Amino acid sequence: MIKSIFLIFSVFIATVAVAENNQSFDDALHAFYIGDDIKAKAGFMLAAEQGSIEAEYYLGLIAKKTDFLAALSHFTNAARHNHAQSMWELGVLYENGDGVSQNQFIALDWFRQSALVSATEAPDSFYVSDKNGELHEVSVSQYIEHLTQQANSGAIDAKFALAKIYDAGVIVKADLPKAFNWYLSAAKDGHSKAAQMLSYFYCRGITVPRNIEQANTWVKPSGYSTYCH
Amino acid sequence: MTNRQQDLVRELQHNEHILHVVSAEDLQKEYLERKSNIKLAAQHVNPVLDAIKAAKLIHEVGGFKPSQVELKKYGNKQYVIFKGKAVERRVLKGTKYLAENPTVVRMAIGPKGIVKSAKGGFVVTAVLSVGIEIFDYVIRDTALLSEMLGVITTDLIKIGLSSLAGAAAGLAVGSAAVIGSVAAAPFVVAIAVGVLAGFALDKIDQRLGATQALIKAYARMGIVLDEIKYETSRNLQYLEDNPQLIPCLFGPCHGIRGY
Repeated sequence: MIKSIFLIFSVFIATVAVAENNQSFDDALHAFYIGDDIKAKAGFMLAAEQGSIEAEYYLGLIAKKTDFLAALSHFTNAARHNHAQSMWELGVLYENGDGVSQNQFIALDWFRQSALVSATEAPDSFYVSDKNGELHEVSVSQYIEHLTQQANSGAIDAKFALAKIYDAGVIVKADLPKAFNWYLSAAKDGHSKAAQMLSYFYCRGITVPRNIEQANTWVKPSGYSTYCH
Repeated sequence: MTNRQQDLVRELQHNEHILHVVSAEDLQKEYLERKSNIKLAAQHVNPVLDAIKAAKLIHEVGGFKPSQVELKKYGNKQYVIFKGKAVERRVLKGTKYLAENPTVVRMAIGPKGIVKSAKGGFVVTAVLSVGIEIFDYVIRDTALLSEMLGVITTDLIKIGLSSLAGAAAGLAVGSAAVIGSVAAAPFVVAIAVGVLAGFALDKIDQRLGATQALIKAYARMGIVLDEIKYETSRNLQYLEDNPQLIPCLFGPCHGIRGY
């Protein structure tokens, strides 16, 4: 009997504690969005101490305004627990060289890892406009076909879009060799983002053998400054 | 379109936020060119702007008095992001340096936003006078969105818009294609991405169909528009006070009729 009462009491206390933590986190979140960083930080720190990964992420966002190293630490803590947005923020830090040595390859590592764990949902409706500008809903396969036709006729944006589609594997199954080929085609036509991806694929040996020389050849057209080592 | 649908469209339009993204470099060149200093524009401009100068340039180039201007560095470039006047549905009109045909990305946020904001949902339109890949940075930038859109952004973050945005950004292409996206219940998010000729923002609803996609999404979720009393905040207020009833928006709920 006493054990049961104790158990019920413990569960009650735990429930109250969880509710209070949630309230504290929500209050901190509200403070964050209305720009009260001091109150937000206090609340998030409390929540982080109690194991909130989300709180680590928001602490990182607050820190990013004044202290990149602290931001790096918070985002890294959250990223260890597969927090997708923190991974994205780590990518941004590396891409900009904020608090770390600028490295666009590591940035891309984080961006791609973030995309991987964020369970991106595929769009479920696609539209293509006809010659008169009227929109028509089309199936995924028709949409891909439309893009492919455009790409084959030299549309650089279509090439890049196809590359991303095959790279991301969201609306169709990922096909990295196809992605690579479309990135290559777009990069040859002068698409700087495609050149960056091409450089990254070579540097990391994604779908092609690792080739530092080729990777570095595409660094300049990409407009980036990191070289593959 | 029923009266209810028209009301919804109007309400969404009223709650529209327009974010315009331009590169700091192009904004300065545009400014110099309009000042007839073409030679200077064609040459080097200061790669780094401060917020005050950016706000001044936006005012002089577009006639705007932006209440919020954010400067962001993505990669090796600096971008100026400002909140346009949604009611006037205007954006910076490009000449030489600002893209003539910007990429327009619209997101209509449905019931979750409605409940949270008690306003009837809202629409965020991003006008990109830069490459579509920048949209990824903008929409995933929680700090930026919170600055530009305020408390309402909490909903954007919670519904995981970033992941949807990733898909959308990867699909945008040319002037001939548009995609729409409708997320599964319990959240309704409609995304349309496309490139429009000119700045006919008034026609975006027809052309890109974000609002229509949202309405379609309501229907898919079994929410009958005529039953949504979104124009009065009474029911919304009730839901805010009783958040445990929110799931009733998305399916049969014991003891609850309608809504």
